[in-house]
Order: sequence, then C-alpha cells, then structure tokens
Amino acid sequence: MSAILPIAAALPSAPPSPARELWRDFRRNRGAVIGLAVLGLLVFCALFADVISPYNPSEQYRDATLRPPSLTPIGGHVFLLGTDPVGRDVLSRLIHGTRLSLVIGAVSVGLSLSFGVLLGLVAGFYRGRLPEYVVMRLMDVMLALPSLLLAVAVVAVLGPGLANAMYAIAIVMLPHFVRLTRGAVLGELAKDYVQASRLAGAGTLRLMFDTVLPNCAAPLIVQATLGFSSAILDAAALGFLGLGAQPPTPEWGSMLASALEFIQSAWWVVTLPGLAILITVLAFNLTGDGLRDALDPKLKT
Amino acid sequence: MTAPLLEVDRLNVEFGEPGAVLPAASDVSFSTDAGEVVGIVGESGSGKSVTALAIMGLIDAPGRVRAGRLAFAGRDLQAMAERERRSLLGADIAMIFQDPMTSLNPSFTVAFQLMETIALHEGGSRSARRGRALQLLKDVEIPDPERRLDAFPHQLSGGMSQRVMLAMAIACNPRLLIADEPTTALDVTVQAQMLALLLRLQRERGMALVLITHDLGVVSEVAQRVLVMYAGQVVESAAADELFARPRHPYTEALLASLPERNAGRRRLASLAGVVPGTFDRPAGCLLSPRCPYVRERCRSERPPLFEVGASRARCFYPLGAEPRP
Repeated sequence: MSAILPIAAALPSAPPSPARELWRDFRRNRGAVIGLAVLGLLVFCALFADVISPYNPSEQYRDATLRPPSLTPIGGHVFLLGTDPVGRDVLSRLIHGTRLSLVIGAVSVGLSLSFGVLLGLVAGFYRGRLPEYVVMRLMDVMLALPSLLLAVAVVAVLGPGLANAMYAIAIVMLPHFVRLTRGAVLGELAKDYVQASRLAGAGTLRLMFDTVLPNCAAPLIVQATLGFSSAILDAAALGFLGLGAQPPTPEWGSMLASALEFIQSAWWVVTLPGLAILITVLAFNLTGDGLRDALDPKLKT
Repeated sequence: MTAPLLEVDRLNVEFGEPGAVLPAASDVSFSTDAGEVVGIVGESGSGKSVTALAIMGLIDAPGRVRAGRLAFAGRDLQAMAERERRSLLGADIAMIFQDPMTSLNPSFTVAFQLMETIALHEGGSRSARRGRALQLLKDVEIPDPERRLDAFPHQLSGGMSQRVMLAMAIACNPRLLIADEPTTALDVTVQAQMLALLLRLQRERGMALVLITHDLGVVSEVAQRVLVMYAGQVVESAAADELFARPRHPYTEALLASLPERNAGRRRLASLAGVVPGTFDRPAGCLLSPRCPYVRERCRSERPPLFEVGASRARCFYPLGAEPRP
C-alpha cells in the first residue's frame, strides 16, 4: 500500500511512463547496469565482428603457432591475445565466438520461450483437464532428467552440429518456461479483470494472448534473460564435448576442447575462451537479476 | 403482464466430486423487473456471488449449473449458443466486482480498456471512442478525468478503480447491472459516494440493479426487494420495508439484530453462534438448525421449503409472527 503514496504525491506532474519507471528502478542496481553495459559491448562485438576483429578467425599463421599474448609483431602480425595450436588469432576467434554465442542464446531462448508460453497458456487455461495433465506430466518427465544429459541425448538423436545443439538446448529449457507461464496464468486467472473480460465477450484465444499474457510478461522476461546465460553455457558444454559447433567454427566451447591438451603449456588458449564464457554468463545473470528486481511489483517501494 | 427482465427459477450450482458435493446455490429463484433494485444479502459463503456468476455463465467446470429457467428479457439463456449468450451478456447485462484492485487489467491504461469495450459493442473512430471514454469517466464522477484516461490501474486508488470499473460496465448501456459487493473493499466515506453514484446511474439510465452485499444497512437504503441467502438457499424474500419491519425467518431476525445501529448501549453485539455449514457438516434438516435459537425437533430432521408468510416468503416451519406451517 505504501506504493500509493509517492505516486499520488507525484501526480501533479504526469505519472511516469512504464518504460521510464522500469529504467529508474533498474538503474538503482549497480551490478545490473554493469551487466547491461557488458551486454551492450558483447552485442557490439557480435554485430561488427568482421570489422573489429584484426584477422580472419579461420586463417592459420603456420609460423606463429601457440604464441603467448603480446604486443610484439611476429612476421608482421600482432597477436594481442596470442594464437592457438594451429596459429589462428585467439582475439579474432573470441570476437566471432560472441556472435555465435548470442545467436545460440537468442535462437534457443526464442524457440523455448514461444513453445513454452504456448504450452503454459494451454495448461493454465485447461486446468484440471486433459491438456494440463498431458503437458505438465511431460514436463515433469523432462525435468527428471539431468539437463546436460538430456541435451546430449537429443543431440545424439539429431546428430552433432550447431543447429541441433540449439534445438537440444531449447528442448532442455522448455519445462522451465512452461511451468513459469502456467503458474503466472493461474495467478492472473483468479483476478476479476479476467472475468470482466469474459463478460465483455472475449473468447479463449483473446483471453490467453490479449488479456492474460501481457500480465505474465515480467517473470518471463526475467527467465528469458537468465535462460540466455544457461543456453550459452550449455552450448559451450556441448561444443566442448564435440556435440555442438564443429571445428573450425570459432565457438567458445569447442575452442576450449580443441586446446585442452595445451592447458599446462599455453594457458591463454584455454583460459581466454573460458573467461569469455564466464563474463558473458555473468553479464546476463546480473542483468536478469536487475530486471527481476525492477519488474517485481512486490519489491517496489 | 410483461415478462420480468431477469428470471431465475430453481438455479442450482454444485461443486465437488460425487460423494462430496457442495451445493453452492440450491433452488435459488428470483426475478428482476426493469428499473428495479434487488438486494441479495447473506454472510460469506452463502452463495450470493455464485448465483451472480451462474447467471452470467461464468461458472467453469468442474462447477455444474442447472436451472428450471434462466431467462433475460424473455429469452432463455440456457438454450442459447455460447457465442450468442456472450454477446447478449456483454451488451445488456454488466457486472462489477468486489475487489477494485484486480478488476482492471494492470497491463493497459484506463483509456485503452474503456475504448476496447466501446469498440466491441458500438465501434466508432478512435477519437470518437476516446471522447466517449472521457464522457464515461465524467459520468462516474472521477476527478480530473482527462489525466486519468492515460493512467495505469496501479496509479489509481481503490475508489477510482471501482469508478473506472463502473464506467466500463455502463459503457454499453446495459439494462441490468449486477454489482457484487461493490462497496466492500472501500472505506466508509467512499462507500457512501459509490453507493450514491450507483443509484444515480441506475435511476438515470433506468437500469435494473442486483446489489449483492453483506451489509444490511446498504440494502435497507436502496433496494425495493431483498433476498436473504444462507448456505446456498434463499431463506427469505420480501419487499425491503416488509423485511425490515417484520422479519419472518430466524436468520433474518438474527442478521437484523446484529446491526450495530440496533445494538446501541449494549456491551456486545448480538450474534449467532457457529458458522455456515460446509461440504461435510450439512445438517439433515433445516440448514440453520444447528444455529437457530428457536430450533425444534422437526427442524432437525426435515428440510423446510419456501412458505408464503404474509407478504413475504420464508424457508421456515415456524416463521416468526405467524402460524407454524404444516
């Protein structure tokens, strides 16, 4: 109730628009702002990878294999973050890897979110009837399997490759979105405005997508942001196992895997892709947490 | 004689599995004429809201609705296709709910929600609909209506939300308005304003109003006819004046006795011990028998039907101030 007072006091000026209010709440969390800034940097890297990366990520400089990071030119080339066992520039591969990681995150989360929301809406609206049982029990089965194992199994069926890895990750994340959507839908369905909307003549589809879904958006946005990081992590894991992106694709996980034998002698070929994964995942998690705090009305003061 | 606007005959609503059935409303019958105000009173769990929802066709499976007849303006609601019934309901019967904080969609502005309702039923250009929305807000006496148009529900107070809800309800000029405890969630000063507004709109527009409440004081001021409900049954139905002057059912009498106005100077409010029976503790006889101060042997074994008692109808073998029923 205390939320009413400051808003009422601020009424003489127009009430803040929802977007501005969100930004105001988001900005309070410094970690989230840093996370968002890092994300901006990552998106920039992904968009302009061809422009900003110093070399072609697949080009092999045979006279400069496994060079440590340094500013001194070797044969006329500067390898800022060193080279890998076949002489490819690590920095360029990392920058191009950003593009892949973000695409993997976007595609897996996009797929998982759209199907998850659809199934969650159906399960929520047909509570206590057959569609709910079918959907939710299926999701329970999927949740009972360890997520990476399930992803490996799916890739094993579909065959290794970047696209199949993304489908596998989408399938693994599906139960989370379904359960989240269903829970939010059940919460909203209990409210009077849904009844009012039915009275005004809204059909089931309209109720689902126009009336109820916008009110379930907040937890879904948060879950999607956090899902990005787990998708990137899972994709790296699959790549590491040789089931995701295939060489010479500059994917972070497969970069780790292909340099594993040099972990003692050449730290940079393993550490730097690992750091890239860490920073990206951390940035998504920080942003997700900040969004959750800004979107959750229960925490608003 | 013309048909009443709303006709409800032997309406039954049941929840629960076979073997553990809860009759949320049993054999509820009443009718409303155009321009009439009917009050439905009863304590929590007496079936008031369920009755309203059943009329509106909002009881979902696993709830079951049966009725001898359910008709609006002479048209049988039960025989209608779902789609037809919905279009009729949205335009001619409107309903407002108890909790103003959840009865508006939090994702959209007041203007958007009002204009959506208007678009659905009468259409018109964007600016025309916006003008109409503004007019509606003025009709429900919202202060500073221009600015409220673009407010989101969480930026409104409870009273204002309730007024917006009312504006949406009257947007299509309904012939019947069902108000489910419209003042319960508001504080006392706002309650009075809200009630006055409701009545003004009812009179100006010639709407019939079904007012569901547990506040007898409210009913006594506004209703022409009153239904008293207990545990899903109508226990007494009478003209308002008659009910307050000569309650025939012991439950009505107890309700009246518990009004603070009638307890001035006493240390404790008169009250009826016990609670409304649930699924598993329904008595075999009269549903009030475990709580009734006048209970007799017959009440515990036999369920009374509604008897004509003077000008009223009461569900009691031993109505107050009248001969016992055979």
